[in-house]
Amino acid sequence: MEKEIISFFEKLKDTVMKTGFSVQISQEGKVLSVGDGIVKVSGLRDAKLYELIELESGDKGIVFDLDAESIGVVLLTEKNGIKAGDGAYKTEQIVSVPAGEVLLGRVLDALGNPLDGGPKSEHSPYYPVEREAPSLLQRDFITQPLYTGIKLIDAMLPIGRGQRELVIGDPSIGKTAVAVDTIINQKSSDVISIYVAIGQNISHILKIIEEIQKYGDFSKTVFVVADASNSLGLQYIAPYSATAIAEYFLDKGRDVLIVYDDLSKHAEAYRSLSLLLKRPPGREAFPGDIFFIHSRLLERSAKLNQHSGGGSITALPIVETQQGRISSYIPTNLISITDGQIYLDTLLFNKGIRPAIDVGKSVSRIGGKAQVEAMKKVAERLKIDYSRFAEVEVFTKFGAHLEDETAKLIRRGERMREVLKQPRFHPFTLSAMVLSFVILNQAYSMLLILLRREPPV
Amino acid sequence: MKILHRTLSAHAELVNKIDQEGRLTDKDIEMLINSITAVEI
Repeated sequence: MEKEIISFFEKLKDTVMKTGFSVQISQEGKVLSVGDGIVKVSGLRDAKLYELIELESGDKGIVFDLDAESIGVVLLTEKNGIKAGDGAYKTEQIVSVPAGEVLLGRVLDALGNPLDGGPKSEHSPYYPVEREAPSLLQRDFITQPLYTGIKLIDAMLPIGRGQRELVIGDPSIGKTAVAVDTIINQKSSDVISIYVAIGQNISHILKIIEEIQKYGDFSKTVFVVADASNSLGLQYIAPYSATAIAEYFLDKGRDVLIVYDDLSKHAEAYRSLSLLLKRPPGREAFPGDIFFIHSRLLERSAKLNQHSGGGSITALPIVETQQGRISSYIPTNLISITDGQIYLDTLLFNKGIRPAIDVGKSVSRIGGKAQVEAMKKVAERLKIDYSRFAEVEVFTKFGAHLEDETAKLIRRGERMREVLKQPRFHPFTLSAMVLSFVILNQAYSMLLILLRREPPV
Repeated sequence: MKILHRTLSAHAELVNKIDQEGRLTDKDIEMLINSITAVEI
């Protein structure tokens, strides 16, 4: 009997030890003031940076500023009329979003709540929106290509799985089109796509959803949407939430493509929040840490080594320029963070050249290593020849006498331009691209029939 | 586009070799050109 009692208490002790009880003290603070998208809260002394705070009204926010007397909270929701004097409670949680296979084919808000009328994903693992980027030891070299299906990009500006390639250009000249066509091309690959809309208007987002439903594989795509009517907090957090969802697949060893559309609006949302929180403004009124918020986001895109699962996140951040000024603050920041840029040019767009990519100003710093032998063989000199052609093309405008060599280059450039033109929603397979370039390089007479032009040199 | 499709569908094995393995030899290129010329001109 005594033995049984002892064994019972030992079992009980084991169970209690394994359960790991802990005492949680939740502090209560008070809302001091309410601003546009932010609140100041006092009394939450132990609040941590980026901790989720719940307000008496039921709204939620993230800790953004820690002062000696008060904390600045960025609101994620502000539907219930927050008042000064309301209670504010610590949750001891960093903001996290649901992740998992069930999210594929879904349209979500920046907190992972469904926007498509479907059920909320229950029993999904939660991933923190802020996570450290993979370490040096976890990473691998970029060796596998990610095909966009766009001839010009895959031949001259190849993108590898795990690369960050910026898409940059003025408004309405096809930046989103390049990204969406790349998502559509993943229909025939094993890559999962995530599209993040930041500060876009709803009709624009709806159009993109429809395009992917019609031409791509919607069941392999996740939409994370923070439209222009959402709070600044949601717009700020959206790319981090989407990256957290991507990290779930990365941890499973999958390859993910993530499109951030666009980081100019993300920077503007962060600028507004920072100014409301009275942080000192810097160049173009952006706060001092604007570079860091984008670099820490984009560093989470990486190719992992086999030991760490072998997955990858490829990022296509989009950034908008005004009147072609790529030297303004946010574009230059992003150019230096990413592994290359695809620059879209208004003049090319107005000439009817699609995609309106300026090859001379575009570069892919690491993608070349991921290019397959077949493509390298046929597209080796393409970029140099095309850039040289773009430089000398201007001479043809005022009838200058051209040397034979230049005339030859211009004729080849014109042929190249025609071959590289590509309508939307017509992704090329690798073999079709290779064959196009074989024709361009070696079967001139064939190309004449294709292009109906005068005899080549 | 028609020529591309016709040529590619006539060389399923080569298409597979390019798409799956990413390989292309000089001999393959020659064969492709001959095939285009034979079909179209």
